[in-house]
This record gives sequence, C-alpha cells and structure tokens, in this order.
Amino acid sequence: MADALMVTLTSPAEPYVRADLAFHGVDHSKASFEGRLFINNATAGPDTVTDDANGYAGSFWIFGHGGCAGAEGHCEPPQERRAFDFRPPHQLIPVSKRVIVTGRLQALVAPGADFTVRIIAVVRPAHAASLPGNLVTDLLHLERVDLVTYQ
Amino acid sequence: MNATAAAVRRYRKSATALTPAEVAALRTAFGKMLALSDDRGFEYWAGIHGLPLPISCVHGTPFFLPWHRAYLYYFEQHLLDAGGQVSLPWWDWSTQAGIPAAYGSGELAGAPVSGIPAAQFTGQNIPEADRTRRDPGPTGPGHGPQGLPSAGQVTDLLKLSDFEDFSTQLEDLHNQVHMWVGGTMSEIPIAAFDPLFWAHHAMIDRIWSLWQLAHPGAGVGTLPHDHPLGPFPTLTVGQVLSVTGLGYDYAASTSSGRPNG
Repeated sequence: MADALMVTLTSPAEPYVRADLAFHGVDHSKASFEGRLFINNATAGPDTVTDDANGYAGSFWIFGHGGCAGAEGHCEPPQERRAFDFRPPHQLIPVSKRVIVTGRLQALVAPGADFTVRIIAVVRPAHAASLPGNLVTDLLHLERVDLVTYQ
Repeated sequence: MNATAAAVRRYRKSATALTPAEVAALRTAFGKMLALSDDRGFEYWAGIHGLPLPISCVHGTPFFLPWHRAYLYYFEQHLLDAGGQVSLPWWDWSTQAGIPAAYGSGELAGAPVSGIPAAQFTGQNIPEADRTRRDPGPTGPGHGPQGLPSAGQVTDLLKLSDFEDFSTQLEDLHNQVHMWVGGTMSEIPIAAFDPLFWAHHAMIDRIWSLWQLAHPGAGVGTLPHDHPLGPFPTLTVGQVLSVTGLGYDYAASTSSGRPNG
C-alpha cells in the first residue's frame, strides 16, 4: 500500500555542512506510515531497494492518529484560534518533519543542480490489511517541502 | 550530601540487565495494575495516551519529550504502589536484537485493550481489539528503514546541540520503533496498552537524559518552564527537566558497597 508525491528542488551552489529536507503541513490523521525518500528516482516505489544506487536519501515516520473516534467534526482542526482560547492545540494540526540528508545530497546532486525528491508513503502490508481501507489510502498530504542547508 | 534523597533514588535499568527476580517483580507489579479497574490501574493509564477520548498524548511538537516524561513518571508511581521496588526498565532497541526476552511472556507480553466505549470505534478509525498484538520487523543490522534504529543513529542524535532539532529527530526514531513493533504499538489510540510501550518510552526518556548530560545548559528551547503538562496536575515543563529531581536516574549498571568499620 503506497502513495507517492514528487517535488523538484535546487541544490545550493555553495558548499554546506548540513542539509535538511523539511516537510511542512504533513497530515497525520490516518494510519502510521513511513515517508520514504528517493533522490532523482522518478520510478521508485515501495519495493525499491533502499540503497545508494537507487537514490535512497532517508525516511520520516508518521505516528498516525488512527482515524476519527468521535462524532462528525471531532477531527477537523479549527481554521483559526479564537482569542482567549487557552485549550491545548487540536490534535490533528498538521506537523512538520525534518530529515537530515547532508551526505546523500552531496553524493547524489551536483552543486546548483535541480533534483527531484520522490516521497513514498509505506505501510507494512500486514498492518495495512488489519485496518479499514480509508486509513491506508490517500495517506500523503503535505503543504510544502524545503531544502534547508547550513554553511 | 542528602543521604535520604540518595537512598530513595531509583535506577531505571536496561530490560536485558534485569535479574530473574526483578523480572518477576516487574510482572507482579504489572499484574497488580492490570487487576485494578480504577484510576490506579493499567487500563486507566494506558487510556490516557489515546482512547478512550480525549486523546491526551503530545506528538509533533517540542512538548513531546516533557509530556512523555511526566506520563512515565505518573505510571511509574502507580507501578511502585503496586510492586514496591520496581522501576520502569528501558528497552535499548538500538542493539537491534529485537524485543527483550522479559517482554516475551507473562504480564509483559501483552494486555487487554479495554475500557474504551464501543461508540469510539466508529468504523472510520482503528478496529476494536480485545488484546494487544505485535508483528515485529526484522532484527539485526542491514535492514534500512525496515529495521530498528542503530546505535550510530543514536550517537549522531546526541551530537545535535539544539533542543528542538534533537527532539524532532528523536521523535522520528521513536515513531520508527513504534512501527517496527507493529500491531497495537503502531497506532496512537491504543499503543500504550502494550506493556512494551513503557520500556520503549523509558528508552526515549533515557536518550533525552543522556543528551541533557552531554549538553548542560541547553534547556528546552523556547518552551515555557511554567507550562502545565496536562493531565498530570502536579508537573510543569520546568519540573520534569531533571530526572534526578523526579527521583530516578538511568544506569547501565550499578555497584554498591558499605565501608567496613
């Protein structure tokens, strides 16, 4: 069971000592999943070997909310927070993830070059089979991906 | 030196370093908590993390580490009430040896998933389960993201100097281990019903403690120290920054002696 997205980014022309792929606005309302990352591999899938030759760059892991246990509207985060609302934030506000990819980026992408990152949402098949279909399909929703480098 | 404080401090030990007597005592304490149906019991404390509603756990924010330290502290207090001298052991999954033998049988191998109203299994969320189950991934090195995090990954984590950076990366390893265990541990709403949850989180808390030792004064970034850690009414962020201030510490091993004369 896997969904996939791809994004194009640009490597910095200058040297860097650390590079992070930052994923913003990541949905975590459904099943837990691994976000598996491949650089410059547009055809990578959940069965692609996670090695250097295939451009594997690392993974992030989403510990999922497991679907909605409440009534209608229970799992919909408010669009904005009222003044004087001192309650904890809604559980399903999207999260950010960061994967440190320094070595992989330096090895796979020339300075100043465009490159792609393919993100594959992976749920182990046995686990996916134990869950309702709505929890393991259409998993991968995120707002933005940044490459952040440090000198 | 405050001899009384030193005497009451507890060491959380590696799950693989427990003596047979300590494993037996831990199982007895878990068994006593499992038998309690009130707010001292296992069902109540496991349910705070996820179901029954409200889901109180904190993930995806820098409060992840302080909140879970408070959670383990409260659970351990009730474990001590039930078992006398038993502290929560930690599971060093970075050895990649898999689930500790102590958690393979008896009261530590699994538990009922109970106390959740049927209405909270809506058909749109995780299915109802009577009992915890596991479906662990491969053990040993070389399995990449399908395996467990390595000791090298933990070493790299401990080098990070910014709290929020460290917390974000540690939480991701934590998530990976939840998914490696599989089954109940894979989903937030019922993960804490697996007794292994508590050993896994003691490991996470231990890594934070080791990071604090390696980076004295690093603190907790922008987190306000007076922020309450609900639903644990006596603890704030500031009050959980020191494990020794909470009466425990982590030890790979301990050796004690009394001077003669």
